[in-house]
Amino acid sequence: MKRQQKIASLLVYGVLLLLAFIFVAPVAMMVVGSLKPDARVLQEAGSLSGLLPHTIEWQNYADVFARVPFINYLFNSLFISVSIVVCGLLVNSLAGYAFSRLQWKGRDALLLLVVSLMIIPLEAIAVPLFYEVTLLGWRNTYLVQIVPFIANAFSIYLFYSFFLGLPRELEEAARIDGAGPWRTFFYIVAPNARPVFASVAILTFLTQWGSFLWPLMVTSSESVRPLPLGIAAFYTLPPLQWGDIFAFGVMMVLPVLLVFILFQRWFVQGVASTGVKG
Amino acid sequence: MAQVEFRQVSKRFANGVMALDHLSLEIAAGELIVLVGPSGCGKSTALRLLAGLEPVTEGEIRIGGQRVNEATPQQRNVAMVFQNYALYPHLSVQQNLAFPLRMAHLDDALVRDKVAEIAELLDLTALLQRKPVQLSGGQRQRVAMGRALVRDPSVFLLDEPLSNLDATLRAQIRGEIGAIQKRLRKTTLYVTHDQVEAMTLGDRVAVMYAGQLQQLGSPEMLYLQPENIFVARFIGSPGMNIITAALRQEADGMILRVAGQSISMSAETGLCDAWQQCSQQTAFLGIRPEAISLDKNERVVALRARIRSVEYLGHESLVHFYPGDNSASDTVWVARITGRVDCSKDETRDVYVKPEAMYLFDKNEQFIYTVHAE
Repeated sequence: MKRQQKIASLLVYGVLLLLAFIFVAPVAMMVVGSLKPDARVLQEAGSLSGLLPHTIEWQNYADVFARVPFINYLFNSLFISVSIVVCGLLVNSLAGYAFSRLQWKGRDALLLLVVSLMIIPLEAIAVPLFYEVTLLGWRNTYLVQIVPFIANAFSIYLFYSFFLGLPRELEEAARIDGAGPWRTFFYIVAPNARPVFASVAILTFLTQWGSFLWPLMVTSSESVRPLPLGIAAFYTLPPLQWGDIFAFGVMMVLPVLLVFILFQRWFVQGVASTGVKG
Repeated sequence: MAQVEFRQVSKRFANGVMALDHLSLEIAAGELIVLVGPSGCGKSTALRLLAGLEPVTEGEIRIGGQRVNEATPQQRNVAMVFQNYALYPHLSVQQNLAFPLRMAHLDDALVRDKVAEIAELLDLTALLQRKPVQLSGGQRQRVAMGRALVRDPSVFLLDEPLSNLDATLRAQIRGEIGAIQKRLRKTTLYVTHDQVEAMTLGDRVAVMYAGQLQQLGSPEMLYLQPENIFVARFIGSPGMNIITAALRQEADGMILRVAGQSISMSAETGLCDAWQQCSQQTAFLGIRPEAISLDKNERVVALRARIRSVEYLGHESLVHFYPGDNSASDTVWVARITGRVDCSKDETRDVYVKPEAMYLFDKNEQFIYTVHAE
């Protein structure tokens, strides 16, 4: 029996290790490849030893900065993503609060509409949205990459379901203590909803950081384009150097990792309390 | 301190439930009134209407002589202690206590002084830096009291403040609340479902049932002169025993027919007169458990009883029995007897009641007569 258990757990761990390798290998290959001279990247790609850097060289990183306006792409991505996150937290949390706590006519119908909006992908509305922003004269600006993504049905729903579970007495106590609706929200409700704020912040940031289709449609100038368009352009820039592309990739992933590590504690709480998969 | 008045106040919720039905109640300045009743009786609704957390459907609420129906909670200057305390979890005890003062834009130094003063009063000084999660139930309760008292409200509202505490702590904090109220003499409305709290704390007690005020009076008055069967059953622990009865004029005087027995009541002229005045055949007889004895004393009425069970509580025993000879009866009475009782299940014996401990209620369950009421 004990022997059988041992074999079973060995098998389980074996499968887990294999899965971990499959998931980690591309990332590891990217990080290691970014630190190798370009010639060796393809040469060692087929072997396991290729996953070890042997020597560390930073030339690929220097190349990225020399060949494309990386800082410009990075700034654009950060500016756009952070703007959407900050404005989105404010707008969506207030909307979620209004749905969960305030009494108004048509609330339930509108909530149903918002929830049903969650299933509509951007691709489905990209073309009409494109016409709309063209009419507004917003093309090729930061605005066009920020404003359409501030209000988000999924974020509203996350906030809504979290606020529903928050004890009503807290808000009533605040009202009796002399806080009006705004101060009740900002002093009492929001600080107690940190986990869901963190979840929404991370999910929004990740989505926007990787945003490709929409910026491609509405921008033409490098000065307002974000990192995903930058890396796509970099692919097509001769000569094709995989080491440089990997270096670009590493630098693109780093801010995301940083955000995740910073908010990880709250994010886990948020996912646990909202029952949403990360 | 301010006087509080409910004038014919009703509350109907959106789903049609009438939670409060024409409540009229006056609380004198500095008085502590306890609203007591079973869950769903409208007592918490009354408190929430007074606090301004719910709008009034009909009627008028006045604080200090001013109509406050349209006023926000902060304009009413009321403070409230919630059943689950509703302490702000992200703020320390100090910040919790300071919150109402900060919302009133008081000066920092003044806030510090007031918080220190209230912390001293409630013995919270050592806990000021802790978060609510690091406090025991009793400490949380004191912080909630402190937060309510710190800004010197004109009316103090408590919504079942002890229901989350264990029995020992409940008795202790009950005493503390009583002492603080007597010291500060704040107009207080205290809501509870526990009649022991109501009886020990209230200057006056308002018994509520089904959204209506059943009786308002001193604890002693509620116990001795209940106006109806609901109050008689609700006040007292255990509540009053009630059974249908009939009183008739027969050849040998007034006879009380109860549980298949005939008891001569000729000596009780007051009772007989009261009964004749209300000219009814059937009614309800009520006897408090503590008025029933297993020993024959002077001037006692004997009632046949079949013992159902005996609960021994140490200083006393609760004897549950079926009154009368009718073994099919599902009416169970309780007698509260000092010390240990020696009787066994299904034993049939006499129990004794002093006539002056008997209460009569008419068929509408309203009080008719007791010797105490004279």
